[in-house]
Amino acid sequence: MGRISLWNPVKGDDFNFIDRTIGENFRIAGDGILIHMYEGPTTDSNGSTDTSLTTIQDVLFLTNNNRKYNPNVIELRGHHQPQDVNYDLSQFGVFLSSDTIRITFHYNDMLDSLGRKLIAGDVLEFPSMRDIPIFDNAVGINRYYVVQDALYAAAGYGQKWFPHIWLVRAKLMTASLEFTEIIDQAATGQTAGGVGQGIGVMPDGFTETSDANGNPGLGSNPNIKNALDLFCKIIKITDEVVKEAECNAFFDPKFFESANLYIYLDPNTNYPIIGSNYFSGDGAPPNLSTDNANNLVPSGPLVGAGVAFPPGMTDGQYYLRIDYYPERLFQKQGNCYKLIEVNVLKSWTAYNRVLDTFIDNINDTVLSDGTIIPEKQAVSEVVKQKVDLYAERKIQTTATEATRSAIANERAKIKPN
Amino acid sequence: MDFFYDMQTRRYLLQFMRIFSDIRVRNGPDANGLYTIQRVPIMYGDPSSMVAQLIKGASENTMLPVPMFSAYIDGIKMNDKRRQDSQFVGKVSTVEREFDALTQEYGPNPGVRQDVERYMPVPWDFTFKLDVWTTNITTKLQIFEQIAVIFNKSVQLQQNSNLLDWSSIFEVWLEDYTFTNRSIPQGGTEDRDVMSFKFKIEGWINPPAKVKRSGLIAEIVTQVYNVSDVNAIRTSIGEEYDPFSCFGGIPIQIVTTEGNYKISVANAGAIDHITLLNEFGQVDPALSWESLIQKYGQITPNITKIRLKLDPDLDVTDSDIIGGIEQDPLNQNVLLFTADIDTLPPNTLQPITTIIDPMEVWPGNGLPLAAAGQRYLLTSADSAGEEPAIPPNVPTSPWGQMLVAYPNDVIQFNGINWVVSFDSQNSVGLNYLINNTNSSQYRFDSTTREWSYTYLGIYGAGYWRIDNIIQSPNGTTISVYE
Repeated sequence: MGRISLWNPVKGDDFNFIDRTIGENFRIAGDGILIHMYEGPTTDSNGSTDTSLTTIQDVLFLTNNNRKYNPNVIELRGHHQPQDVNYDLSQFGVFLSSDTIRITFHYNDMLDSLGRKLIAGDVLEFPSMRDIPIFDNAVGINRYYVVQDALYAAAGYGQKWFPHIWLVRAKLMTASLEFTEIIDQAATGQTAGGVGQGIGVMPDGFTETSDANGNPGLGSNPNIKNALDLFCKIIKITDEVVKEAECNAFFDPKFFESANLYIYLDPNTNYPIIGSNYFSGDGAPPNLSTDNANNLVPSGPLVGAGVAFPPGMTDGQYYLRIDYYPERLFQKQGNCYKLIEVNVLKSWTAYNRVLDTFIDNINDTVLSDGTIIPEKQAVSEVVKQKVDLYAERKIQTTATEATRSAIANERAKIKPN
Repeated sequence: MDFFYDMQTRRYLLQFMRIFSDIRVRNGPDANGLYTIQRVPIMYGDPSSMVAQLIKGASENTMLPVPMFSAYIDGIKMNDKRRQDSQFVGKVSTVEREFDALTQEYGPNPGVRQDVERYMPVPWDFTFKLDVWTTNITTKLQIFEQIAVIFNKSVQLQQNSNLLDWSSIFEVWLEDYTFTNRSIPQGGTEDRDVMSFKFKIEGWINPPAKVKRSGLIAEIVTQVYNVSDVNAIRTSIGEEYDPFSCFGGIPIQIVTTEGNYKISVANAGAIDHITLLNEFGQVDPALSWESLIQKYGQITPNITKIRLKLDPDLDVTDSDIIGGIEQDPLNQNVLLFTADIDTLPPNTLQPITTIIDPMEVWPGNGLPLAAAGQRYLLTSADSAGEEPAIPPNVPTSPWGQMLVAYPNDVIQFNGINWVVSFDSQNSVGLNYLINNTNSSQYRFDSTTREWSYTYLGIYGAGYWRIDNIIQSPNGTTISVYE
């Protein structure tokens, strides 16, 4: 008679019995959780879209920012312990005091359903936690968690020392770049993230987002997206802040709203008396409309706008030179054209006027060979060689270095110092 | 302490947040190789719990967008190094362009003139913090690189674009920077990754300003005293606060005004004309009321008034005649004047029908037949006043054989006879009446024994003044004259 031992490297029937019993418990009592399986980054570090689950997108920072998720959502049954949480007010808004959840899954059922283990990056969707925000046109939305880490559960080991339960620690998902596909899939109803849509479980007063045939998921539904992702709400707050800021200073800094102030004119010459008040900086002749279109009248004070002074300007007439940046308003005074003011009306930016021309720049440059290139280019990219003129030299250098390194290694083996 | 609040700190914060309101990040490529550009929202970092929950939709399931900016006030501290003359009052004078309240448009001419007095603001340094929540370092570096070129090491902004706000421009200094709030290595917990910038804003907090009607000097009156004892003046000045108050009597007044213009007030039918004269009292059609008035403001119909001073002492205003003015559309040197009845002296005599020479016209001869109530002021081509205008005991006199009346007398038909109603020879003081022919008021001075128009005539510099020439922006007249 052999010694009694629960341990046996072969799992055997006992293991299977216990495993099926545990699995049955999960299937009967577990919460239905929808699994959005991570499939890899959209591109690898070289920009190729031929990626796999283990591809690393950014090999320097070791991050996978742009992620692909399988649109076919799979339901797994899991156990978790609901807990009371509070709202935690941060500088970015309210979070939950505990945004982490621990869920256990039956290991073999997970493998059977998913074909692999749950891993970090997978997204869990909880229809049981479905809730309706208070927004106008809001629809019911499920709660989403992102798997942070997944390990065997300590409590999931059986009598035969084999594990049966997979423990997942997951955090609440954010509406960030990494999960764009999840939110898009929910918004288009492609996944069961649209649960409740078109199947008659939507609460009264809330709009069904199903298509004409009752099938969820034809086109993106902004109501789902906006209920799920607070971007539109918060960017609207940003816009309101900007709107109030514009009431105080609409145009670019250094512009003063002074067109309502009168600029004295020399009664003998009709020339503006510089210093009698501030020019408004709108490029318009003093004491007239701020819109030069209204000032352009025949024989009026403003002759026109262009890149060269027109012939026949009479004494005291104005002309706007648009070939300057910013535009400049000149007045003919005797035999000279005198700079009166510059047109500083432009869109508000935080940076200075010169830096403006480098950052907010959509100009194109037409080269002598007819090539059109954008004027705005990264400093590191300007006038780069179109082909690698040093490709051969790089190969040679690499080969030389490899030879030298091999000799060094051989010598080091013989005499380490 | 009366309430005031100009939202100054709020404006600093608004413009500060605006700096970061249009930062964008590039996401992608997605599975189709496409990129998307996304604005990074910014929100105040210390919201009320209630509003924060409302933003969240009162749901645990809604998701905050990432990346996101959060800006908040970290501290405010007074900066003694920037303190200047703490009780300094800066004054600036402005002239607005004329404004038509009906069309809500500004015209090409000068309008109201206002003086603005600003009290020295208090220097306060504001520390604002900007937190950036990101979920990956690529996004974080995109944001960092864009902010990094803006501050070198500061940017200059405006908290408002009012030319007269002497603290409208302010500087935002990048003081400190923290790349991440997390420790490296991270360990078992993964906290939110927050990049922080710390900025200093050198701001100013202003008390309210004073806006006054312009104190532009339109007239200088120099008091000259006929005192030869200089030592007596010196002694008196040393003992009295007001050197002019130590001398009795009316001093000689030398008036200096813009151009020293005189005016002529003349009757022109239903309305009087005020003609602008040069300093020599001559009519010059080239003179322009508009040009002169533009130096001070503008005429506002029914509000702008001209004041004619009848008393030789400029400080006496009781007898001033005040009336409305409008520009004569046909003559640039003429104003149309309508005297305010209330400022005219009260009539002491009944109105007269007209002024006549009784030897030239009489009832039935140039005048209507006598009727009760007819009153005539007499003048005479033959008498300066010493001889009667209507001599007595003339049997053929159309006025009656017994009537004796002198030039400047007023006679009245009582239904039976003509009688003297006003005896100029024996009157005292001043008397006033209206001539119904031209509606003008006349004044009789018993000292000079002459009738004259009450206010028609030539007025020298200083003896006329235009009031209420300035209108405040809300349409109400600024009544304080300085």
